[in-house]
Amino acid sequence: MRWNKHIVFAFGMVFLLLPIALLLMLAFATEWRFPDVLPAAYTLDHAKLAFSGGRGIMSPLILSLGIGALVSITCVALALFVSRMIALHPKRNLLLFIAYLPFVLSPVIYAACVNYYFVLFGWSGTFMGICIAQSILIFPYNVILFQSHWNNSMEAYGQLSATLGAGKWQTWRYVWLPMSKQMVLIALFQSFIVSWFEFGLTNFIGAGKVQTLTIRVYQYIGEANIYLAAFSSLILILPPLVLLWINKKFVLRNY
Amino acid sequence: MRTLLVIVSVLAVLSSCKQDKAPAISDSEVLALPWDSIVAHAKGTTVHLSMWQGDPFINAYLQDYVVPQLEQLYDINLVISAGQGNEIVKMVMAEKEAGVKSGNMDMAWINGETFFQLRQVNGLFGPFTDKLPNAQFVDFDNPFIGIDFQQKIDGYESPWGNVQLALIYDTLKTPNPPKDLGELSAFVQAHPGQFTIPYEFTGLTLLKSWLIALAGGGDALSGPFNEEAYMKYSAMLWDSINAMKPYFWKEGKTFPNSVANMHQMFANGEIAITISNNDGEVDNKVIQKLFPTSSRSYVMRSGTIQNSHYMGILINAPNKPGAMVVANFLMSAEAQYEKMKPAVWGDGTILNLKTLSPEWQQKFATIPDRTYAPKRIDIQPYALMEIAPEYMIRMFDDFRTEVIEK
Amino acid sequence: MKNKQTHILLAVFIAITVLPILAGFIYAALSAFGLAGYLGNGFTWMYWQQAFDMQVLPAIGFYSLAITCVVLFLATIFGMFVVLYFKEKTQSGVLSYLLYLPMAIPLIAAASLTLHFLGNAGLLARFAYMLNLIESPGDFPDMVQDKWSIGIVITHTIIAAAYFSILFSAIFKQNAIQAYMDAAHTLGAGKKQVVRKIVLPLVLNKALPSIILYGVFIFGSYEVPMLLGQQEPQMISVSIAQKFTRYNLADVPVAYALASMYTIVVVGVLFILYKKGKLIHEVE
Repeated sequence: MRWNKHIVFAFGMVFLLLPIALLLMLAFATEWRFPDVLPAAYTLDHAKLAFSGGRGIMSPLILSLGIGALVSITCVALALFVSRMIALHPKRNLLLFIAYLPFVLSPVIYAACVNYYFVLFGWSGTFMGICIAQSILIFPYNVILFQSHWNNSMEAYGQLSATLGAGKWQTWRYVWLPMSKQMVLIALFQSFIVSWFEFGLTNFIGAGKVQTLTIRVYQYIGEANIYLAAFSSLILILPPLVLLWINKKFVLRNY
Repeated sequence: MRTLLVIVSVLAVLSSCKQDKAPAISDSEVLALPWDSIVAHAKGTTVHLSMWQGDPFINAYLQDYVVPQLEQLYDINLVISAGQGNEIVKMVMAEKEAGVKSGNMDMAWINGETFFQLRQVNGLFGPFTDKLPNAQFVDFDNPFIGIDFQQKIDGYESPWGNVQLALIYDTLKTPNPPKDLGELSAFVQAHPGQFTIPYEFTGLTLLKSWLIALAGGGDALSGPFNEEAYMKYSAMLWDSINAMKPYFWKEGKTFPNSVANMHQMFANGEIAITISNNDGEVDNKVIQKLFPTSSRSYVMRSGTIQNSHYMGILINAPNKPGAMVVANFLMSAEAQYEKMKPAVWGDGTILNLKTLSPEWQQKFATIPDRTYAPKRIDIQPYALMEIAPEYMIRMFDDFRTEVIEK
Repeated sequence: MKNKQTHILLAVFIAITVLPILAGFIYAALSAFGLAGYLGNGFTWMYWQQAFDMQVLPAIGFYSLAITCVVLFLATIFGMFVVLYFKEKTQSGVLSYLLYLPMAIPLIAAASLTLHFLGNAGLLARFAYMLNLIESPGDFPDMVQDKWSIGIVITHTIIAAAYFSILFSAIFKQNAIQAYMDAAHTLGAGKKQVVRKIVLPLVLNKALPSIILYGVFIFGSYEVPMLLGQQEPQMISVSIAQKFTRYNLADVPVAYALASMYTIVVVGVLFILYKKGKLIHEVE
């Protein structure tokens, strides 16, 4: 029985780690054709190319980081306040139902429908346009994420602080914000990851001009540039891995 | 109510950020300027080019050669974005509908069907080609260059390259590749699962070549779109493809959606034949070490389509002078020469070499020969003219309903 | 004071969440009626008619639904298995980290990895060749871009299973389900009985909203079926996106008609589930 468990466990581990191993091999392989089980040779060329000049991933990487940071900070900050309003709102459930819609609708179809407005307002193909487009997914996501946070005990603390003479602002500053620290951190991480991976809206609204790392990877895959695609995928999954690890290690409640 | 007011004001603030200035200089003014002034206007500006980015070598030519050259020669910052023909048309349509005077893109790499649609929606700026100094060296009299999908280009797009559709095979695995539809039928039955057609521009060019062959070859389908002829010959084409379909790759249940993927499959030996719009591409891919050195390209006995690809400037381009300078540079002897090298791209030139200076003629004559592709002069007799764009637009839909969904 | 704040916050919520969906839907519907879009010239039912005539909606809708159900079913079983089999190990230790791994891989990269593993010239095929099981890539059974959509299902299932494992594990811990199980055991219930009568109902009931929403997400997924699917049938997002990028410009309004229908169906179904109380739990 115990042996069995170890075998299943090992099998599971290999299964989960195998994709990363394959990515690593592809990223540094060259001339890896059927029927070779291992690459004919290894090279750093793809890595060098990826970090050189116009065809590389350097500027998409910086752009993705910038968009991710800006969108997650803005959306989390807004959602923190809005989510409390909704938690106390008589129509809470209906509002929450609405908040679910943006990220269950297919982003490619959603993008085709809202594209006209982005063109109309001059946001198409701009940094701000992408930030706005991603916010219409990530903001409601955070509103939902924060719902369980505004429970009875949070309200009780709020009332207590009000009874003790604190104003609304003081209650936020000294009671609710400190109590929300962990939740905010989790929300920031998750928002960043959603932004980092977002493809459908970003691709459409970006009009080919705003190229995030995810879009660049998609392009490499499209031109069957498999090694460069693998190398950039590796870079692409690095931040989420680190964030998820931090998330799990230091700040996890019950996600 | 108050909620509504806040929303409206938020929107007002957001939309005030938009910058839609019409270009400082009007279209007619640009076209009236002498070339020197156009170059002066273009200096220090950014030009946005939208193009198909499906080939690493083509992308490298643009990024590693064209971009630095433009920077150095004209102080122009060329920014390249991904966008294919129909995406560009739809973008221009959306911008026109929204009344955007200053669009996202300045210029685009286009083919006949995109040219047709952009002209339909009045999406192209021009006529501008006669303003470009390098236009004098372009072989406009060549019908494969001066006429695009049966349409006169009328100065609304500047030629960039000229290619002929070719099939690529491995001489070791396939000593006798099929040379016409009949042979193909026998070939796929003998080698099931090793042939397919990409469901995109290149694949459609192959299908059009066969359509012309079925109609009697040569200029059987030239002139404006002919509904009757299309119905008749396309039915024959779908019939013969459907008869072969069970022997196609994945039993013809699905087709690859890019030539890049087909090239990968060919390299892995998954399919026996891949195709390219560019007769010279096989050299390029062997040099890239993607294809084995036993690869060769050939054209069908019944002929394959030869066409040109072009640069168009969009009607709402914010930077028309810049786009004109870029278009002019792309037609220059040096840019065309670099592009034609098999190790760079191997794209055919649109220049009339006889009009060039003896030095340049010499240089073009000494471009390292294509090793794996047939000589251009040998396949020229098998070159077919492009047919009217409606054929392709119809075939794209009909291939889905008549072949894929059958 | 309080009222004003609520109004502002509500306005922010509506502006970011409700407005884009509503505006997008209105534009799509108007385009489909020929009232918007550059080529729109006056009211017509034609495009809706065409969208219905094509009967694509039932076909791709059914296909997308089938894929979604299979993935949810497999992922639920898998997630349940992981939680019941490894119990605490899903909360801490190596496994708890590894379970997060699939979620750090974007769908597009996951799909392309599946191609590299299961494709006809993929890693598995190469091992098969090494073992003399096949002679050429064509001999290897189709697992991507295949009739049975194996590639799509596998890719989605792996990611969903990891997510469900984490979800179930959290529900397990939060609701002290182990205690119920122990109690049932003491009272003489068999292993299977405990799982069927206690664990499944308890966990699934709690997880249902998340499972439904994940299902809607798979239903509309794009990147995975785009790379790993066949051209016929296609999943709904791929099919509609493909109609948007056709060469024939007259197809654009038809694509908008389909997009409108998709939106109505998804929002409608979710609304019914919401009304039935299956989507949002009351605050405890």
